[in-house]
Amino acid sequence: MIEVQQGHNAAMSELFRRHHDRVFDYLYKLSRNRELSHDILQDVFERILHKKHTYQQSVPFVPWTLRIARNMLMDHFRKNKMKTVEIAEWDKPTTNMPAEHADIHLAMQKLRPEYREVLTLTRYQGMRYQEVAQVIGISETGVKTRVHRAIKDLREAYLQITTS
Amino acid sequence: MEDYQEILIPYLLGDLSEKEALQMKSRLLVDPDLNREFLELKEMWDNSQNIPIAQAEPHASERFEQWLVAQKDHHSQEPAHIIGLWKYAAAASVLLLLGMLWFLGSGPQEQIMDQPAQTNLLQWTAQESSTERIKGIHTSVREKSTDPDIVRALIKILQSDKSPNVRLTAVEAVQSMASSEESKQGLLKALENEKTPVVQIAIINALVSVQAGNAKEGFQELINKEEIETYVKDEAQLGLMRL
Repeated sequence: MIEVQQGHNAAMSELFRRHHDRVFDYLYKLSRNRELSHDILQDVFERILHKKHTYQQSVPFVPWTLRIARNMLMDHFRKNKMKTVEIAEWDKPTTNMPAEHADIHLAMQKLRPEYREVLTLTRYQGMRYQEVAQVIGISETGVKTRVHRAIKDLREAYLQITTS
Repeated sequence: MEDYQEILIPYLLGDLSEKEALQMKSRLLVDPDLNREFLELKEMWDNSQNIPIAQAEPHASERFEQWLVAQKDHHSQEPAHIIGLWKYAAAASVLLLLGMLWFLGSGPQEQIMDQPAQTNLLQWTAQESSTERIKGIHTSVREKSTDPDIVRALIKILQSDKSPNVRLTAVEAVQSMASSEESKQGLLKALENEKTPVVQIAIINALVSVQAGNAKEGFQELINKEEIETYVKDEAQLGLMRL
């Protein structure tokens, strides 16, 4: 990112290559809409280049980028007056997925978006509570509590699916 | 630790203190029901690791590369673009000069004729019904869309009306009118005192749309305030990036 700030646009290609799947996964797990996630992914990296001077080296790049992605997605929802995320193609588990994985996949979808978000960041993006706090703008303790509640709800949803 | 069930999840994640974790471990050895529950939880948690990571389509990279190339081309053409902008600036200056001459020539008579506009709007908005007050804002703005007195009256409404809906209408009206320094300052002042999140967000967006550079400090103050809703802070953060 420092190279990008110094005007080396080639470094921007490298940043995109390294991080775009991670940003896409986050957007997709939150929005459950592939097309929208692709559009916002492009917008996020465009904004990073346009606003490169606002980046502070003391802030890790990934949480900073995911925060931009989050704000842009929320902005999109607000502009389009989407109060809840529409269920799109994400609700169908992949056909070659083992049954127990398909069940957990379905259980994840039943979670509230804010719970799905913290699980995505901690479980799939491997982020620490402190980094998640930087992305979603709440305290580290708040993140920890949210993760615990998310797993509690996930377990309940999973039990409902597996026992029905 | 009284309720071991409640701390199964923190134990699974390694969020307990060393002492608490040891206590939990000992408890699991002597409590088969709790141990079974823990093993079920662990199995589900282990399975959750297997949800595939979503990957962007290959065209996403191609699209971004094309955009980067286009940016490079755009910047290489920038000198010509700047010259083009100077032409527009010169034309705008001439128009501004003509406008000033017209304004000075029109004299106090025009200003006197326009004076009741603010009074009319305030009379409209003194109505008991918020629907009537909103109607009053719409009517006055439509009739006197460039009147600075109307902007002043709107700012007054924005800072004092008890109904969030009326305040929202006032924000939209100010935003749609000329982006004078006075209107920017009025919006900023209103943001300081506003307590309703939806109106706070509308004011932030209005300040961004009129490119009020001096709003940055106000946005930062809002972000630092504990009592402000997170989604309002998000909007302010986004606003900071856009300004």
